[in-house]
Amino acid sequence: MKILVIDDEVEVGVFLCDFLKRLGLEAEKATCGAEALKMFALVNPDWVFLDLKMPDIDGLEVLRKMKEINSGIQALIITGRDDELSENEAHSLGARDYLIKPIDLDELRTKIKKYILNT
Amino acid sequence: MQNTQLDYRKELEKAAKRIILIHKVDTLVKLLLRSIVRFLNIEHANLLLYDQGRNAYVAHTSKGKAGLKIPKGFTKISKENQLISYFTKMHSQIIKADYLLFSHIGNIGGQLQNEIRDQFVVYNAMACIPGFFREKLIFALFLGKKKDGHDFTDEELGFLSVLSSDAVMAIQNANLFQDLNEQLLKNKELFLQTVFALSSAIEAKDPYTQGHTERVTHYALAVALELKETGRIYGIDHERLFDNLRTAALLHDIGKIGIAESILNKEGALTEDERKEMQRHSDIGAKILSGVNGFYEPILGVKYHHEKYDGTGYPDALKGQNIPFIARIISIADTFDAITSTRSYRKALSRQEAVELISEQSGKQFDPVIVEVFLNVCKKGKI
Repeated sequence: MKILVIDDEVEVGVFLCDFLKRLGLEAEKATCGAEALKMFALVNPDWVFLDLKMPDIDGLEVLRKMKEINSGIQALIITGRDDELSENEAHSLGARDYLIKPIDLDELRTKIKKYILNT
Repeated sequence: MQNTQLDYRKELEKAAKRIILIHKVDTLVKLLLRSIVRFLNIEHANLLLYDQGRNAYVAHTSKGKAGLKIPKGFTKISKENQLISYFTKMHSQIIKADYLLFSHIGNIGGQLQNEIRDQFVVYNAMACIPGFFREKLIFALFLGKKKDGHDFTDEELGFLSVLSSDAVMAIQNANLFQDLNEQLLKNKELFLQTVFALSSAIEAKDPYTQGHTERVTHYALAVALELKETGRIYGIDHERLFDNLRTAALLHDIGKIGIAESILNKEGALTEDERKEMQRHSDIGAKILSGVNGFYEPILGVKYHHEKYDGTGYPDALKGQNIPFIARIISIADTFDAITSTRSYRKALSRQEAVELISEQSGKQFDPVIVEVFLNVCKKGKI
């Protein structure tokens, strides 16, 4: 299972990639929308972890474009408080689930286990 | 071995002493964590600080290996989490838990231990140190494994808990200091609003001076800024000078409240007696303000803003540097605005004419250094 972590904060990408690798998953990171789309084509991930606020392209726009290329792509939104959204909204945007920063790491791990590791 | 242990103890003790002096929580916690990571030789340390707004412990500072460092504000642990409850519960007992080791979680038993173990796993921690202020848990500090693979020694753990209580005190101090500063700022704002209200009272009585106070304050502060930027202010705290000057300039004519309206608003020239009566406004202003605590310097500005550098001014005919600094600045600002404004008894001078007049009065009516600075400010278009 390959995951692409998209967050404009480099440190978040570094940490989440390491976190995923410790759970036995493959992970790559991108720090803006343009880089995310490039990486998406390059690594063909199964999942994206996605921040909605990005300096260049809006996170949802990025997700829409990815779905055009691979309709089976799964997404987990991890975003800041300002752009709080409801579960329904997250679903209608094509995301499987969402977490609001600051996130509970244990909750993230539970979601990863449930959705990705199927344990 | 004994020696290295003593070394890190000494270093950490030094760090603890330093942090007490730091009034910024961020700087303080960074310094603390850097010292711990370096001297205990551990992979990483993550501190989660209690955030009142979120009612949770939020990632505040991380030091160590890149992938293990948690970005500030990225993660949280809820106050209801079992790990937090465990520390809080243990803290109320006689034998307190100064730390919790990953290898000891099994001893806790029950359902609790799973949730606690999970937190250790996601933070990749071998130990967690709580930071208590009285009954309140202020922070949780997660420590990664030692690079040499050894367990923490009892001595290290004991020392970490001492350091943790020092850190709590320092954080409490820093927070108090921050609160105090915020309170001071609020008071300052209230104070300024009061001064504004007072100063508009003068203009209500003397319509000719409409806008005068504000302009004089603006000019005076522009001159003071130039004095500061050209390195001509020494021996005085700049911020205090600016505060005092602003207050004095806003209130320089407050004494006019005590002058009869028939004189204040008279059309045409004043008689000798009327002029003398009018001149009392600087003294009256000083008296009005004399009841306010800590107003010593602004009062000097109010009282002496009509003194002249050559000693021919009023009320005390002070000369040269004997005239308080603030008063010398207000004097130029006040005169410049008066002669560039229209009065019932005369027309306004043009800006150029006014600048020339001020320049002529250098060393006579005004302090030559301040005149020079004033002319510079005019040239720069700031007045």
